[in-house]
Amino acid sequence: MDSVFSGGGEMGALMQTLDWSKTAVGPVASWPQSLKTAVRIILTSRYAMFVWWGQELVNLYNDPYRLFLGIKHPAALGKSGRQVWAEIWDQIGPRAEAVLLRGESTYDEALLLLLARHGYHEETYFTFSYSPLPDDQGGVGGIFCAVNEETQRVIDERRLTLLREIAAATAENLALNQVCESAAQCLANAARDLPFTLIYLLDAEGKRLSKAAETGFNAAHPAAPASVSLDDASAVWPFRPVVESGNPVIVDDLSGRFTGVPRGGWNEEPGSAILLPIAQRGQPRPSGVFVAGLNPYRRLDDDYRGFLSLLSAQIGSALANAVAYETEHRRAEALAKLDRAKTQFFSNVSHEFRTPLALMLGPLEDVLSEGREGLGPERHKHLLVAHRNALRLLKLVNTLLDFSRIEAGRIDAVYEPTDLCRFTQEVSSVFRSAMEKAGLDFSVECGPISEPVYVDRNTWEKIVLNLLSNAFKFTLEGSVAVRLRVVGKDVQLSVTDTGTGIPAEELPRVFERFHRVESSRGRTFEGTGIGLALVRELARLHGGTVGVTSSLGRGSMFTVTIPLGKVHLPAHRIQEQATLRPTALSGETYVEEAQHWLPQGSGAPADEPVVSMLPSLVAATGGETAGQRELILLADDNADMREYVAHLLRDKYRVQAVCDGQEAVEVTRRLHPDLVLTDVMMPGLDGFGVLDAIRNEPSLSSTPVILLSARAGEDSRVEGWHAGANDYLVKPFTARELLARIGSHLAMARIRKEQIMASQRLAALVESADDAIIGKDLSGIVTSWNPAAEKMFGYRAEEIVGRSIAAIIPPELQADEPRIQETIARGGRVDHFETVRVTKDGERIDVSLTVSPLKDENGRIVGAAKIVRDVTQQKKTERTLRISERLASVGRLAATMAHEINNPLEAVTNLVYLAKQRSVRSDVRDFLSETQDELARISQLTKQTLGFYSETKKTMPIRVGQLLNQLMPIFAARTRNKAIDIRTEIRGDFEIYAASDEIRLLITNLVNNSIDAVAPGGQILVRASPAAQWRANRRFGVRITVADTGSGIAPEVRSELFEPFFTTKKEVGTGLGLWLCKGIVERHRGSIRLKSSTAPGKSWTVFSVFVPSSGQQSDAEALREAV
Amino acid sequence: MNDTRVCQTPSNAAAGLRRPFILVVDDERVIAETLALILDSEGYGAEAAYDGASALEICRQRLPDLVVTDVVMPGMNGIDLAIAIGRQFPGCHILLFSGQAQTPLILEDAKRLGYDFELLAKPLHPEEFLKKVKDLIGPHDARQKTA
Repeated sequence: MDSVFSGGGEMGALMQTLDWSKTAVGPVASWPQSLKTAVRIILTSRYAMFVWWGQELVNLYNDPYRLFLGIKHPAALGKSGRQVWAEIWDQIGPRAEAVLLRGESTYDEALLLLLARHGYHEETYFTFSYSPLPDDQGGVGGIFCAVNEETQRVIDERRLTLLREIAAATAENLALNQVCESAAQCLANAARDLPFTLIYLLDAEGKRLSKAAETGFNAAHPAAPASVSLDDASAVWPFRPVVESGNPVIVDDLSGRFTGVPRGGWNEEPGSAILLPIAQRGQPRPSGVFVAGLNPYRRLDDDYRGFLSLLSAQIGSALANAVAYETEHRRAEALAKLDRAKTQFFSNVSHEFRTPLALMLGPLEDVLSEGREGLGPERHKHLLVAHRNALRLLKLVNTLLDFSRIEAGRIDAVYEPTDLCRFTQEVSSVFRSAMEKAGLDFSVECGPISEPVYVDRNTWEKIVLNLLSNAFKFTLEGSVAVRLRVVGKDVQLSVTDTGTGIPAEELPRVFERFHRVESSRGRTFEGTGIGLALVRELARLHGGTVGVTSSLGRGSMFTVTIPLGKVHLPAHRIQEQATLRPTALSGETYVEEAQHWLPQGSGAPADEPVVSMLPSLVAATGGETAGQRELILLADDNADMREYVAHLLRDKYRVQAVCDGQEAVEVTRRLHPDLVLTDVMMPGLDGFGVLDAIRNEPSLSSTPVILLSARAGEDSRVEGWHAGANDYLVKPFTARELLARIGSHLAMARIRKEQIMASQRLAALVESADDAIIGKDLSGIVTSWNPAAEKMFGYRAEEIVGRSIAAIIPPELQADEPRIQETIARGGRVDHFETVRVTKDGERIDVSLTVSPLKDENGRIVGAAKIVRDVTQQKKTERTLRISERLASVGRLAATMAHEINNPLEAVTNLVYLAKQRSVRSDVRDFLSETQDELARISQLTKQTLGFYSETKKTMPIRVGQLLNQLMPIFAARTRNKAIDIRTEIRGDFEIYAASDEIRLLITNLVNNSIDAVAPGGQILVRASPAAQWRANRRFGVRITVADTGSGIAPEVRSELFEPFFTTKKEVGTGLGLWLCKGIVERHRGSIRLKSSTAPGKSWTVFSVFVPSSGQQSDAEALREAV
Repeated sequence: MNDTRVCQTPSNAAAGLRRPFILVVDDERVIAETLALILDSEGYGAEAAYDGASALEICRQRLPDLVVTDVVMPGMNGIDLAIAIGRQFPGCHILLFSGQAQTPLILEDAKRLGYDFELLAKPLHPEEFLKKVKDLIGPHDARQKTA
């Protein structure tokens, strides 16, 4: 053996046996030393190497290189390199030439070469270097090459990159179509692995696939249809087997199916493609199909398959995330909607409570004003307690109102520069006596604060009072300390107590609304968990924050921090001038309540003066009450005169005295006094100036002004009247004269005010009425059209004014109008005439008409005012019912509020009963009767609004047929009005176990919906029949069917139909009826279904409810009973 | 003879008859006291208690014919009190009343433990309340003392 080949492995042995003399290199003995050396090197190396020798490039290679040659080995040994690598010679030939001709070395890293080493062209990557081998003469004898294959690394990296990119791109995008788009952008960059791709998604029914994304295609192509039915046997791709089996399917006859499919990163079209299911987490059926053209230069080996299935899984999970996000998003929106509806609802209910409360406090205060002697100590005490409890209710309702105002963005804060130290001290001091009675040390330490702080005083007062009330409630012994100081650029209020403290786990939640720290020891169980939440909201209004630290059993410290200065406050709400606001009395409600928590005996003494809440209440509700004293503003620079006049007036009026003209104008603007009494001669702004300022301000101009002057004489009097004064009094005047003039001007002002208010009220009424109010002349031409009419009939005012009223009258009723006109022309009226009108859209609505003549100032009839109402009595009762329904969705709050409201109500009811029982005086009894009536109203309201939850849901044996017979008369009036043909059909009536109240509500809701839906003359069928349900377990029960010929329910709203607050009835619906029905049916383990058609002229709706006979028993029990 | 009458009860102390005794429990003192007053004015003997523990104490001293109790109270709640009275004084009638809407749920729990109580909702008109009491233990002047 030639020593040159020894130890050269298989290749050494092969070289040994080869007859080299038949090759261009000649016999081994003739080989130059350099070749021999090179061959020795490659044969002993474990790195793939070869030598191309001579101009022929005769190929000599070592064992590791065999792998790269594939089937070309062993024939390649001794052959020309040109021959061996013919398929890639265009790429490597020039490199070899550079070495041979110019002696230059080459280096290539991961060069793509399409080798045909396994019988097909294959995508491969090589890193290699050619270097010259010298011959013995010093020239270039051949080429030496060390080579490394990188195919696996390059392709693996590329695929991993794609997977990573898709994951990253789809993680950011959240909508379904965005996910597909982003995925496609990434896929388009992987044109070598995936010459083309298609993403198809299945529709909700699982019947149709729609293309969601594609890559590689530049134009429409038969291989990329936009959508395809799963049942389509002629579909271009075998989608169906993929969807049904959940396994990939390979299509390897692309050229037979299509021409010109995209080539992607290659010069050749892919010969085959793969279809992969896009799996859905937790679902047996895939959500779609991923189609990928396959790389023509790679075998579909395990790696490639693994890569493709990872890819479709990646797309699947991105899609699933998108769906989940969309669902979440929709849920969040629905919740937000619900929340707004709740807020609105509470605002409405709170107002409803205030009115009866005001009317209750009035008579109570009247009775109480007789004092202890007049009433007798016991009755007086009872009434005081009743009064206190009514106030407690009022405070709760006011707090709720504050909340809904903040939420609705309607709080009327005015930020004024305030001596916050003094103000805080004043507010805190109202708690002093309660604290002392309770044996608590109470300290208030404020300041110093060098600058005024901008606060809304009402708000600040509420913050302080709520924190104090809270501290008082939970501190049974020890101390409560209020501290106000500057911390950096903020003012910090802290209220520290030695009370029961708050467990650490509750701390983060104490400011949450309606959150109450359970089982904490306090003076009382009262509380809604709303006070601290309000403090937080109020602090936020000041751009501030709240905080709490607490140690269980040792006490708590609450802090409120608000910024100094005013840049953080809305500019239009800042009032620079500090005002002389009379000290607000709202503290009293807090203290009265707090004192009531104290053990009996140390509470408020029975003869404590009653704080009148009436004025503030009336102001808040906008009402007027006889007996409220009028406010007179008195301006005089002479202190003695001021004292004297104020003294004269105080018996009959409330008096606000100021000492100069400027202040008089400011106070008038703020307090809107009923009358201004001003001295003419004052330094600065004189009386005429005050008069001028008042007359020039529209909101004040009607205020009566009386000038007081020492200047006598007709001239000055005329000058005064000329300037617009209502009267002119010359000093000295008698007390009687002053009072008489003031009295008469106030009376005149009242009359004027009433007239103005009446006409304003009328105008406002017309504008804001729910009823359409239409003016027309004697020939039936519309002259005015209010917003409600726009809403009811769909015509805008400018569209219809000037046109005939006949536009809203249905053709068959046109004869009505002349009759109405005739009645009006005679001076008669039409009252509550129930008929039908049509809207602009041709929809018919049931209306009640009231038409009255309009007269000009001479009493001639010039036209008619027409009031159109779109409701019936039935609908009104429904609305009351709905109030209770809405509350079901706010159960938690309802429960808390119920306790808070029902307890004082119970107390007041009992007290009034006792007081009435023991009263001998008839006027007092009358007052108390009035109080009792108002109480009954509140109780009724509470039951309606808060009682829904407490209704018993006990199941009992009932017969649905019987129930139907009882219920149908209720609908008679409404159906008669609309000429609806309503029929009841009872096919057998056996007992079922159910909550009869709930089933009644269910039927009522469904039938009322039908009545609302059908046009006059339509039909409704209500049927009860025995039924069986076969799903899951075989169950027997009753099917209640309510069918109508109404306008039908559009498919797009059907999914929302059972959501709370969803309604198609814009004017009358609360959107709770069907939601409630669904809840009832679910509680009875039944089912509710809907079928409907909106085909014009043939529309109908059928609600079908199945209630199993076993009511709320388990299915198993039901089965036993059924068998 | 006159003395004895005064000492016993103000009005209807006849042989074999006694004024039915009713205990009203509510942590809202005003409610407890006014109800007691109302019952008293109808001729029942009535007393007010402000929490469960003192109510039980009163029961031990003088067994009432009827206990009317609020449900939501600090400490021992009305249901617990009702159960305790039901165990210790089986002859005593119990009436629950509550302003809290969630109470039916608590009642359901009690029912599972084997106690079925009647619940009245606050606010209750005094006349309705008196009618309820009369239905339960009869009018004050015609009631025979029972074991």
